[in-house]
Amino acid sequence: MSYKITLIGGGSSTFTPELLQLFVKSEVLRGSTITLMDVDEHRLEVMDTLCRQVVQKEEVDLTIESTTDRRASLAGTDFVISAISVGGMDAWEQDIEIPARYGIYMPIADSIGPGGMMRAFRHIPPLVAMCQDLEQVAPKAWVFNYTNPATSNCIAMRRESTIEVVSLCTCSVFPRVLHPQMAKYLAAWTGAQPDDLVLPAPAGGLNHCAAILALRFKDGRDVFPLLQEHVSRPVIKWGLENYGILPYCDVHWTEFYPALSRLDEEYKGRLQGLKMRYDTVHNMENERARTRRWEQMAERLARGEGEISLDALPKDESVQVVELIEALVENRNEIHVVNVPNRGAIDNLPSDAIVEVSSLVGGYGIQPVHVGPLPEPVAAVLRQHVTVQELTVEAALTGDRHVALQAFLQDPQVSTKLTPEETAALLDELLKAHAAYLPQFC
Amino acid sequence: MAFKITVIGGGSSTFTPQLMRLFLESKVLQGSTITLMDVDAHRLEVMDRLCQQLVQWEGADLVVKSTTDRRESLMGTDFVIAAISVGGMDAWEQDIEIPARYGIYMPIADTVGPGGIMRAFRHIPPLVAMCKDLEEVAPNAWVLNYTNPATANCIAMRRASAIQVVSLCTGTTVPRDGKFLADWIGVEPCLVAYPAPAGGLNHCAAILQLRLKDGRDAFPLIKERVIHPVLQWGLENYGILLYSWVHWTEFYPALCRLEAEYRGRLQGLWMKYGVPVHDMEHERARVRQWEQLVEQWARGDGERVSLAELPADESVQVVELIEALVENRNEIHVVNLPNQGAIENLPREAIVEVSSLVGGYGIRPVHVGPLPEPVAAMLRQHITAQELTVEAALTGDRHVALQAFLQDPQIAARLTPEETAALLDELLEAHADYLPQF
Repeated sequence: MSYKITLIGGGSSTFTPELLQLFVKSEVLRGSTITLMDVDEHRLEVMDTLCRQVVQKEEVDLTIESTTDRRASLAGTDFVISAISVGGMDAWEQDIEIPARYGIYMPIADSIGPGGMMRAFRHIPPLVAMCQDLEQVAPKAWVFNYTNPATSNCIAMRRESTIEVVSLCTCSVFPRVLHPQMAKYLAAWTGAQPDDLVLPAPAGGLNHCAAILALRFKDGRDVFPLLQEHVSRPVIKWGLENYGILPYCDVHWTEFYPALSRLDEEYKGRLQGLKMRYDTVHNMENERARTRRWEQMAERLARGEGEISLDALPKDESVQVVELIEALVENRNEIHVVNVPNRGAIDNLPSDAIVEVSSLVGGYGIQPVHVGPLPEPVAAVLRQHVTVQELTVEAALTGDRHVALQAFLQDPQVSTKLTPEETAALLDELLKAHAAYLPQFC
Repeated sequence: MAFKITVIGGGSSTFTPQLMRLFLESKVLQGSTITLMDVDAHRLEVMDRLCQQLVQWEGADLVVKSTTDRRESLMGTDFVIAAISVGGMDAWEQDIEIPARYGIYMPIADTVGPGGIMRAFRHIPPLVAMCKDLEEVAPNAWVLNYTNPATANCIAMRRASAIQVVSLCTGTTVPRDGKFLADWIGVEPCLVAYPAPAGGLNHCAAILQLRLKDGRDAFPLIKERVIHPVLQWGLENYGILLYSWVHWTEFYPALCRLEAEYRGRLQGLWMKYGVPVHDMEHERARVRQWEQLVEQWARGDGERVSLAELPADESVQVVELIEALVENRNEIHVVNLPNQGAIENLPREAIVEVSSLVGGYGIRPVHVGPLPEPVAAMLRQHITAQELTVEAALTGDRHVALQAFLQDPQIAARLTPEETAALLDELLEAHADYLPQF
């Protein structure tokens, strides 16, 4: 079958090659056109060359196009995969370091908290503009959004357009395909192989703060008591012991719970790389080095130096977007965990909240499956975050500093650490640091 | 795998042979024990002998047991298939004929309206008692209920016990029947995207969208080909594709019209839209024929019976459902269970008929969106009547029973409050033997 798939942020030297491998391996997508779009002309050109060479070498029936014109890239498209980064690693670094100076220490800072909110402020305007383009040039297209914060971005795009948007996350494959590490542990403790488990398991929550709600062996035994007894990862143990659920993305979970988010090393003016109770803070130096390596290799391959092979490309088996496209167009009726409007699937989260939940993917689109209530204490914390996300989206769309301050005041990380005056000062410093990317706040 | 499956009402000479055929054909169920339970010792014995005979002829690895002791039949069971009929055809006949004398003409009268409500009054007490037994002897069992009225019975069993109950209906296989849908659309089955999302109440549910695999909407194609006026009514006015349309006419007084002249007997008369009223004479003859044949087989007279000669109904989905549960197949089936948000504009706790995921984590409704609001409004009326019906059935409170009657759309459309009370009293009296709670 032949589809048009548009990659917004297609100049990425890691994500684009990962996607390309999946496109090349997909029988279903033979005959399709992959359109790369990026605002960075140089990176786009490198990826365009690399993709064309791979397609030629593998002799697959795929057409590669690229453009810096967003609207042109979207014209008549069937599927949009959006993975953009406004401000890149420099902005991300600010999202980690500026709050740290106020005593807010977060290991990733891309979902919630001051960093997550600033990221939403930077990304919502271009993503919404993309959806408004789609309304005119491809109103039936699906948007699969990988841009963080997945939840706020999804709320904003759905609110401001009639486009079908779902947010995806590499973590959310765990309920469907057991994490290899967990499979290894389970095998060691019980002799059970992944085949002995009943998968996919029902899952629900918010993106980066979601859990497997039940997990059984095929003989009917509950897996949770065994896991609880043996698991060494403290956040997973915390979830199992206190609430009877299995958090995946356990590092992200710590950001949603101030009690789990503790710095273990002394802060001396730079947070990145320091040890937290359950994790190490993301270090942009490492990220930049990793990306530079890939960029250099991609440039070399694109110049025709060295042997191009699929194996040489960065791989991430948790990228589920191609499986999802295949399930939609082939009416496979598979269960995937995606971020969509709740509509009652999780009883104790609002019906219109964007939740991460097991969903049926087939010829009639993506429909959430009822997974039951979350443990009420977990739902109560998540409802707080849902309110923050709503305020974040409103501030991002209107550029209203007053609403932005309400969002900051509401955020559990900010509200447990800062006074209202400190909160306002932090907001202002962040708005100023990111001013170049926040025209709506001017 | 070895499971225990209990068939309550296992003396039925039509349903039990149908089930037996499915059990014999199921690879997954080899090694299982089928326990037939019935209050009628004679009918039970006949079915027991037939089933034993079939197992032997087919060389299947199934054990067949039977008992008239309900509690014993449920001991340690995994799956209960409940298909009972308190009062049988005589009671059903009353459910059709007594309301007819008041001017209420309904072709089946087993779901809603005065007949449906009386059927709930008769069946809810034994079904609830069965679930209470299960709480003690097999608390993790699934109850797969075929007894009508499917909705009210399911509400009552779930309210009065902690047992997992879903109601099934032979009508509900349509949304997952690619061949049937393809015939309606006029294309090859391989071109249809199925199962299609479906929702509503039992006997008043619809396919909400139907597409071809290339994305085209199949409703306009069906509109051109299917000329049945009730299907046209649903497609034209509400953009939904009804299944079980004879039952639908009972939910809508405007669709439920007698065309023949009523002269003291409703059964067999024609109603509008080519719908004949169920005639117990035919039913009795059909059943008698089966009973004779089955008795003959059970005695071992004559030739060996092949499975193909057994009564077949491809819409009995219960064995597929059991297989999907125990094998984690994650299939989509349409079943009756608590709504829990799957149909936005019906109450969350209502028992709805809706597309559901069936696999290793049980049966979970899938979000199918809202129904057209006018249809939802009508169904909410029926839900209120069903709630009142269940309360009256559980308590035996005539006052609540009268509220249920007054609320029912068929009755409300035809009778004054005084006539309604008289109809209720006459029905309660006619069925008094089966209604100890009143």
